[in-house]
Amino acid sequence: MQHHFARIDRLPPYVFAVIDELKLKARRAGEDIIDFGMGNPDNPPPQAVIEKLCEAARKPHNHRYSASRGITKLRLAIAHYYQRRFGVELDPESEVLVTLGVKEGFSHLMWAVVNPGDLVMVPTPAYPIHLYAPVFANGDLLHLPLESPLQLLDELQRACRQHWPRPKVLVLNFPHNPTTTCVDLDFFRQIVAFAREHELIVVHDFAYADLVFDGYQAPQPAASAGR
Amino acid sequence: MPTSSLTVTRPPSLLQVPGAKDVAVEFFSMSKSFNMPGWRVGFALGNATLVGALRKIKSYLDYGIFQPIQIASIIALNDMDQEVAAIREVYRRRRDTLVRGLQRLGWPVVPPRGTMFVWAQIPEAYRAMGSLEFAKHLLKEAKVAVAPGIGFGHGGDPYVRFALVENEHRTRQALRGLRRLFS
Repeated sequence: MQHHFARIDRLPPYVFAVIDELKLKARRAGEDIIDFGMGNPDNPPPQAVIEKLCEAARKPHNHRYSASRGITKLRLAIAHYYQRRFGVELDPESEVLVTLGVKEGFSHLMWAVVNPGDLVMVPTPAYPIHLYAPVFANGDLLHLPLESPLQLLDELQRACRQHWPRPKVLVLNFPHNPTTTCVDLDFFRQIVAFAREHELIVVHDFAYADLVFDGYQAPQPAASAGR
Repeated sequence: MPTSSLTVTRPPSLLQVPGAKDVAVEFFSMSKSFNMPGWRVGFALGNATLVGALRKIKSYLDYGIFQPIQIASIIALNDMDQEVAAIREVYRRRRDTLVRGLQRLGWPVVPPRGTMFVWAQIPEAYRAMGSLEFAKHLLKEAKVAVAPGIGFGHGGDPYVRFALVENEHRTRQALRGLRRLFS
């Protein structure tokens, strides 16, 4: 076929596929590969949640098309959750939307708000969809090197000073995949103040909201003997 | 041993900042917090104009998630605090097993404070290979698969990423496989 598909052609090669293929080959050859490749949780959801799924699936009326924006009770539940956990008030009608996972919601949000040629700033290294979705939307990427939260604020200021038209969207993701960088509320205060001043749209992927741990204890040579 | 899933410092939501809703949307995910990655349930929260724009596009594209999944997700959000703490503890222990193991081998990785990953700078002796070749090398020599950092774009190539999705037993097996790279 002679046609060319510009949106597809703009996508960078998917390097993870190279490793996946080699992994598959090794497994077919009978090798036991320990797979730390994809961030794909291996344990099941809580039992009560699975029970509820099964119970709901047995009701005939639950098999019809649902509501695109999410059922009211689920939008209420996430609003309550944010209230209880973060003290954040959300209107379940206008400020809450259920998405088909974050990748879908994020990608379509980019499609909704990014005009061709708009600058989208993404701290890098980055979770690939944070780069691909602005590209799919025909936006232009600005990579902000992510060394530390403090340095990111500098990079952000520099990017907004140097580029015209001014950047439109800032993508954040803390705790951060892949660098594991975490930030505190003060960092977010500075981001919000900066975004308000520069009329930036901030999109925060909070996928690891529950995965922050207490202090790590380095291995003690004496205590580690025989382990 | 610290048994401190209750005293853990939890990461802030961007929406906690007063005025954040004027400029921001935050995505929340069920995938990692509740071990529900295959269910595909997420949320867009915050600025009404942005949420409204996404809502409009989606109303043309999809009919929403299978309703039993939405109903079960309500239970997860309402009643599963202890289970979430247990999930977090599983990742913490895996992190400790992997990071301590790598450090003992002489791979000085930094223990992550958050996420389900270890972002490991490639050891000096192998760094010139680049992350894709190094990942191939790990697969071949140690039977361990990792994500090459170059797949995450600018600045990623000196690193590989371990996802903490193998149990502690398997993680120790991986460490035995990795030992020969450091001997």
